Amino acid sequence: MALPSVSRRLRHPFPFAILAIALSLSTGVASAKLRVVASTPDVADMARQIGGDRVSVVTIANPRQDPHKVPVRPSFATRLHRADALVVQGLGLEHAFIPALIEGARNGNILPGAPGYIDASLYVKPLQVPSSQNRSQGELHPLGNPHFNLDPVQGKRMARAIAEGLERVDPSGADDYREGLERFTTLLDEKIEEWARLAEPLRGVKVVSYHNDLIYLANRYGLLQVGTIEIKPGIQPTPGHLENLLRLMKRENVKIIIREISYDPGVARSLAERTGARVVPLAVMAGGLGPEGYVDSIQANLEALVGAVAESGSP
Amino acid sequence: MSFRFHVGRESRRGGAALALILAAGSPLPVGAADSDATTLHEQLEATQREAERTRDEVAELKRHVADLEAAARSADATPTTTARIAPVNADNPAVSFVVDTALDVSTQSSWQSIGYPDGWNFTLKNGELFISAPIDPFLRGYASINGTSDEGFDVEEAAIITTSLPWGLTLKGGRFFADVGRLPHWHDEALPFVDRPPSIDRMIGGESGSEGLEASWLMPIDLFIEVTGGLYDAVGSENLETLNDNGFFGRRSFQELNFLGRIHGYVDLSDTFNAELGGSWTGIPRDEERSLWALDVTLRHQPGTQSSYQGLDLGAEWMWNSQRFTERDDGGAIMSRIRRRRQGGYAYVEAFFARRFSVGARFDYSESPEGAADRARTASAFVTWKPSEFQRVRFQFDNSWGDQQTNQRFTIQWTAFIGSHSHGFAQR
Ligand SMILES: [Zn+2]
Repeated sequence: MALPSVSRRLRHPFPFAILAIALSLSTGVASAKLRVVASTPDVADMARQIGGDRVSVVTIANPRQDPHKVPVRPSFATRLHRADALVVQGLGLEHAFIPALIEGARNGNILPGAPGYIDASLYVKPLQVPSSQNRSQGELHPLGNPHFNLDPVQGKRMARAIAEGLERVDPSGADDYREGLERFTTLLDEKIEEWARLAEPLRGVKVVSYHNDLIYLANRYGLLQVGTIEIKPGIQPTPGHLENLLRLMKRENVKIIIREISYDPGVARSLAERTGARVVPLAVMAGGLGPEGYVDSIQANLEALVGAVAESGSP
Repeated sequence: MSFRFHVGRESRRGGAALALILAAGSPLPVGAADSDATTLHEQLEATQREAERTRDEVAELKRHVADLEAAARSADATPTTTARIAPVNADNPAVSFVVDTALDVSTQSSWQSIGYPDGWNFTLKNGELFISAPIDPFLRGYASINGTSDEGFDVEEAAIITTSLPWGLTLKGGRFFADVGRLPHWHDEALPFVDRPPSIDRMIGGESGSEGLEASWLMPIDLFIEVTGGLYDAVGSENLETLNDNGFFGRRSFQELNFLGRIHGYVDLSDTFNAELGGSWTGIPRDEERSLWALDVTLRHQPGTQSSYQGLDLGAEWMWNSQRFTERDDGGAIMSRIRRRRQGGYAYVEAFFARRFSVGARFDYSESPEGAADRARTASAFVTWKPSEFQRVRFQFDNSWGDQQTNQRFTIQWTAFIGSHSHGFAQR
């Protein structure tokens, strides 16, 4: 094959190699910390809480984005290229950007199935798993509903998978990661008891949301999801669908419309005007409502919901 | 471990609830007969309240039990893999199919040079079977097999790519779209327009189809910079076809091969604005002594939300071609060997809105690399609607003018994607 001739012919590779070595010396060896890239703010916060000083974490999605629509930015391919681990929430939540970034990253350690690919959904029992892979049922949740991060009990399972993943990549830090997990889980356990009391008024409250992302949260706190503004996950509403939803909301006396903050307020507002319901913002990724970090974001979501329920006099 | 501890606490709470159920389930004392009606009524109400509370407790208990069961299942089962992989990706290989069909109406029969026939025309722009899969720990492969109205079934791409070379290197071999510019190596159905910009079509000869070997290197820095070098039989699907049709006579000396060099960078200007810049050279040192330089710029605003405004793309590409042509008379005798220097390019803007709706405009200037320059300008407007991730309808109006007659063309393009269809990182 012509390979040897190519390298003889192109005089570029040699100076490029020197440049590469120089650049990697200047930026690459800056710290001995485990380089972790996290797909969402939720798993990023957990990796930080568990990994502490041992890890440096870069987050791809920002909290105000829609996790299904995060753009593929090659600047993250370079981070992934040199990453020791990639943490994803999983269940296909990050289909819009993670597969393409992994392809662009050229890093065998973080390919799905490789030790550095840490899937936070590993211990979560998926709900709403489609009975067939038929796209006529919508397109965004082919493995089941991936929005389990909104339920703090699932958060504990996510943390466990992340801690085990970090330990797998960096066995010398096993004790630290176990300790970090213990600390995070203890905090979550305390909060979960507190939240159970806080969220008591949510039991039996009927709600409508834009996207089908409430199932885990609703199961935990007894919300009743009556419908979604989207026809199916990822399928935008038609006027007919909205008319049906309006009728349903009136019949069921729905007083709460949940607007995931990455969605346009328009439709929710007009539905609210016609039904007298209240619109409540919800962060589907940590930090969307302001307070950063997984725990504070759950707190903010629940406070917003409980506040709106109190004002609406629901159910 | 804290998880176990939690399980224990849950079951203690369960015990308390059970006691409640038993209490609520026991009958009222018979001795209440001598009490007056009010007391009885109060007692009844209290019991009802108790019963309601118990019902809630039972419901909660059921939920806890379900949770515990689920937790126990997942806790006991040691996962055999480290990742849940989408079934569409777990399939080996992943298979998808595109149906890309169009109807166009145009006013003039001229501009054949940029591919506009007159009258009404239904076309199958592309029926494409796309297969991709990891081959072994070191390779992945993909193939795109397609047919169109103009051409029969053909292998558009069939390539193997390394996945685990060190130092950010990747090697690609087979038949594939060479890394020239930006849109020249995009598949038809992935383009933002119904057609490939005329300047690319004329200068490169369709998409940058090639057969050869390509190496690329991702610099190990935070800034995304990728350098590609390639060696091919020919670049440009029409050129490749001509060459392959020549069979044995298609063989050429090493210096008559196509060489390529490209550098391509990406930078985040802010959280939502980013820019991409690429420059490439492809050339044939001997015979045609061709040099095709191309420069591409892309600016994007990508908030990544579901608001009514969802972003903006600005893209432009310019190409300069210098090439020697052998021009013959009608008898086939060589008249002259003449060098032509020609150029062309396009710029477009596309804005994205809610409900998967986008509008855009494009301007294109093109020249023929060979013979008379045959300058053409095309101004286009297009509207795209995606009812779902897997379906797209696009309307485009083109107005062309220049050295030949003017032409107006209207196109409706209807595209469906069966399966998870993505040409990956390079065609974002
Ligand atoms: Zn979703």
